[in-house]
Amino acid sequence: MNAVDATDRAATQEEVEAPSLLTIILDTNPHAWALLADSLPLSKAVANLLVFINAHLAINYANRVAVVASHSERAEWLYPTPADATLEQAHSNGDGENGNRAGTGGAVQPPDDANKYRPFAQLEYAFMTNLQRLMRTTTPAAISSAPSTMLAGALTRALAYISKQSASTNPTTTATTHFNYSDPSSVAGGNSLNPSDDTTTTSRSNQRLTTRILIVSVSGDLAETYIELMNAIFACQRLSIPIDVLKLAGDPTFLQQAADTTNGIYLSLSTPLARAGMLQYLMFAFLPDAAARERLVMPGEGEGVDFRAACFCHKRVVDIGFVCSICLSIFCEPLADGTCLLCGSHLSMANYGQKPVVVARPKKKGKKKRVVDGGVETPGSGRETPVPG
Amino acid sequence: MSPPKTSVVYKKANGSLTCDKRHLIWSPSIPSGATPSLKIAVADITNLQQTGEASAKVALKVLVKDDSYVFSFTSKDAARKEQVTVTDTLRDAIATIKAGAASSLVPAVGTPAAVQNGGGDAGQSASMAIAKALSAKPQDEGWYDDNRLKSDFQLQRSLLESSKALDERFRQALRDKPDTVSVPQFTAQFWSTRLHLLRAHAMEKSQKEGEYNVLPEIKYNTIIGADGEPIKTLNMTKEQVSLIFKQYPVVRQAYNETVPKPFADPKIFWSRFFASRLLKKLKGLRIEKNDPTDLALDPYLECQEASGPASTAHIPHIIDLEGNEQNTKFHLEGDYEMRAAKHDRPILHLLNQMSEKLLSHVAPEDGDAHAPIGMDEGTFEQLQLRDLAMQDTDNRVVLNVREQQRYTGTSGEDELSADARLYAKQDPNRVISSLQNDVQPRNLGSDEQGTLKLDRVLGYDSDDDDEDMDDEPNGGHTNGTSTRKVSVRVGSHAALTGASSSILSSVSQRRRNASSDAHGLNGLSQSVFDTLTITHNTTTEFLHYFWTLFLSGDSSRTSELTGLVSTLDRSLDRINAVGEQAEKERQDRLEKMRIQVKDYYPHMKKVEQVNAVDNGGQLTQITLSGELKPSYAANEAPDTEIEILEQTFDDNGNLKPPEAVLKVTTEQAELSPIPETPRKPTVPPFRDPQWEQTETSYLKTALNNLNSLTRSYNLMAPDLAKKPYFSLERELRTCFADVAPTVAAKIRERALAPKIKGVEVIGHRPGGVLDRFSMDGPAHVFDEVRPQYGFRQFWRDLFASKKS
Repeated sequence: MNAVDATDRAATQEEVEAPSLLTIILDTNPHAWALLADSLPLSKAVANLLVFINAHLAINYANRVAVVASHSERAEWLYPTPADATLEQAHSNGDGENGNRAGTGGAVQPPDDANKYRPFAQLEYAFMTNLQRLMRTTTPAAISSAPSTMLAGALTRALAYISKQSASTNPTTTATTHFNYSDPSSVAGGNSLNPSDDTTTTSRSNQRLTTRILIVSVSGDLAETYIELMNAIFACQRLSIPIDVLKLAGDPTFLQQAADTTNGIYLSLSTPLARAGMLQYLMFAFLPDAAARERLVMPGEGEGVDFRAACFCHKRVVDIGFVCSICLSIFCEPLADGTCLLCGSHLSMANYGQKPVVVARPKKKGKKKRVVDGGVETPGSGRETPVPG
Repeated sequence: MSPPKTSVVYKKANGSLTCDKRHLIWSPSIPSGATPSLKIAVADITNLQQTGEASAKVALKVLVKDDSYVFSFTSKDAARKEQVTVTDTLRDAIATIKAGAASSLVPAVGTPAAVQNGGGDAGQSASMAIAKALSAKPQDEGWYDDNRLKSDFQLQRSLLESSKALDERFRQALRDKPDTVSVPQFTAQFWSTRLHLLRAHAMEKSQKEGEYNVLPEIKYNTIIGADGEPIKTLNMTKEQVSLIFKQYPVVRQAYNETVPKPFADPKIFWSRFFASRLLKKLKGLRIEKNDPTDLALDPYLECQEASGPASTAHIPHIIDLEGNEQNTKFHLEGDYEMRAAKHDRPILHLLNQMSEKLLSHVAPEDGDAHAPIGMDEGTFEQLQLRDLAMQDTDNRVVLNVREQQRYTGTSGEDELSADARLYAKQDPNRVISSLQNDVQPRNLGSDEQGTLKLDRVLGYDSDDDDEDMDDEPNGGHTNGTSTRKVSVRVGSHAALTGASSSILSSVSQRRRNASSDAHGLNGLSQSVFDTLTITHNTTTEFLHYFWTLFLSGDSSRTSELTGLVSTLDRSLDRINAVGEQAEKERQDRLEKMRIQVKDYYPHMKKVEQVNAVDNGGQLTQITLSGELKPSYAANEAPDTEIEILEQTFDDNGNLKPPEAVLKVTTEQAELSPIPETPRKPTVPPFRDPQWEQTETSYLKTALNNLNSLTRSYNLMAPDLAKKPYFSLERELRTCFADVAPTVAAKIRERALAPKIKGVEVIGHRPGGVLDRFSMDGPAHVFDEVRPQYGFRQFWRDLFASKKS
């Protein structure tokens, strides 16, 4: 019957592509952008980013976007404009706008242009005003005291926003994305490393809103917030939210891991020429959403992920460290009192730190020497096993 | 062997020591025949000690846990002999008690280690084995003990047998090991890094098959007997019988009560049983009226125990189904269908009981292995039950790094990263003001109305094909000030193309990585790949060994260390050797391909013919022929030679013999300058501009299509297989050139051929019917309002006279 009177629309409704929420974290560390000013000024990058956002919005009418600025001392929403900022804006509307207009000869108005798709114009307006406000309210003291960026905070904000959005989109299925108490494997194994794990697949199939995070990063030095950052990354992994990273400058350690863990794309634009082609990178690599990515070979450096971790005690990035056997926290050097900083377990170092004894023989001298230098730092892989005999 | 009896002194009392398989018994000699006063179970003995071979006193010390017993052998001439006999017997007994201890003396049979162990190690390993066997924990705990795993040679051997790769690695490493390292040292080292494998293997081996429902497994075999009659036979194994007894206590009961008395032979019992109603009941089959009755076995049908599970003691509380008892036992009366009596035994019910019985013998899943961690039993059970509700609050333990300030506070300036140091050099005020300026809307192409013209800022103009335009900013469009200085404009064509190509290359790299499976040989032959793997494995093995030794800080093992260093040195040589082998193989393959190419190409003598019309209007054919050979290394003589011969056509259209053959070799790079003759106007070649004009658009489209196909092919193709693109002009020229020699002939042919009268017209006369369909006459347009123009009108129109 349905087919006859053409009422079976329910089936076709299902095939409509799921809306996708793109959350962009823009690293606005002023120091880093000042260093980049010659090859890619912030305004250019923002323009490229806006084009990319517009492309994302144009793909599907239901697509949504959110932008968080990870500034040097705080993380701030750029789009959508947070409620308190809207209020403040309303107060200072008069002179703020006038001042802008006087200074630049053409401030961004609340858009009313027939030649522009309205969502684009609104987004651009909100984005730019918020960015300007962010820059206006930045004090020299703040950026000189904090050399890095608040990426962990921004990620957390983005995650909170994503979970709120997906909860409001499909309130019935949110339970599946939560921690599943009745699933014994989730209790035992913590986060599932296997992407084809059944919990993640069910959540994906139920979750109508596909989400992803794009981090446009210009600064390194993320070791300060290592634990927070990794927590956020693992949360993304559990929720199967890919983190894409576009690295314009800085040291890649943890972001590369983030992309690798969450099945995101990591691209590093290290040369001025590459940075100049930022738009192409954005459009080419980062535009496809999760559904499309399943069918594409995605770009990105698949090999050579920097898996180093930061120690919990000094926040140093370490190649080889010491790990608490109880809680797996990482330390860069043996603890003074032998007590784990995190869980308080008493730890002992079997027979670590013994001076290697090598009877010096003339012919082997050179080789030995080198080995000794490296050996003091590095515990061998067979370290823990009792020595036979 | 009779239990040896020896005369010994224990606690200054004379007596005799006897030893059987299980006990070591000392009984005092006075009074004779006294009851043994000391009895030591062999299984309890932890160690044996004896006095030295040379010492006059012969004594044996038996250590049992914390106690020790010293027996002095007093026999005058045979004390030593007696002691040895006792000790040997004891050893044997211990060895037999601890299963496999004797055979474990030989590690990894089939490996060189086994050969070595035959002689020298025997004495040492015998006592070792005893010590190990004695110190061993009960069998089921075995895999928790590292030392036990390391010394369990049998386990290791079976692991090696089960894993071929590991076996190979072991053998290879053993072969390459330095001479200074003894075999036991090496094996201990080898296994110390693979304890997890051993443990897993031990666990795997200790798994045993669970019970199965045994009754359906026993079936009649029908054999045609000698007289042609089918004989039904029944085969049962001992295990099956015991399983039946275990699973069906009622059968055991029946067997116990019937076998001696009514049935003389168990065979009779079983044959009766398998034909009885009892069997049907136990199997859950419906008992039919005409089933044979059995006076001896039928009473057991009523036995209540027949239905209950053998033991319900192990059913964990969580899945205790007692609460559902009324549902499983069919107490419901009233409804005809639901009455239990109507269904002799509901099959589901029986099946459930069967599984219960099976399960009751299995250790519960939620037993010790999964004991609750960090909470008591009550909490755990509560939690488990509450798990059914998903809304429980998350009970997390918040972990905080304590006393972090103590560490992070001390980080000095030198800890700053390179980025941070660069940042520190910048003036914060200037940084902020420049950024504030930068994010003004005018930098984003804001027009008077405030709309952002992003396209202007990007500066991407799709029609802009001029590459040289890229370097200068689009002055009027971009208001950006900073971009002027930059050599590469943001969004320039060069940058975008670069970006595309870098992304595409990374995509293709990813694809390669994704497609190459684990079995990929990376272009190596199987043998080289195997050698490579083995070399890698052994080198890693020795590196492991080296570091363990090196960091052990054990000065007594330095000789081992030096041996290892030289081995590692040799490992390096081995690695290089593999590299050389692979390179040689590659060269061989290249050489083979070169020869193939060489074999192939001489047959392909490339001939290229170009036709031209010379000054005198003569049609000339220029033939280029030469041999294409792959270019070798530079030192080989260039034998590439191309012949060029120019031939003119004579008046008959035949080629004249060539006047001169010009040979071009690669050496002869420059031709002698051709004397210039004033160029006469050439006869215009035969061309059809109109044809060209009409066909151009089609040709262009076709060519573009072809080119795009080629392009998409080239994207995927390796460099070798890429194809060139076509250009219309060139293709047309080759077409003309191809056709040119035939043109003259064609013209001549057409000129000479008899004139064809054209298409014959078939009986058409002017004014005929078919003429009416032509559009020569005036067209009639009918207003189709009133009398509709139908077939009849059409017919009339067709045949009516023109005037109407």
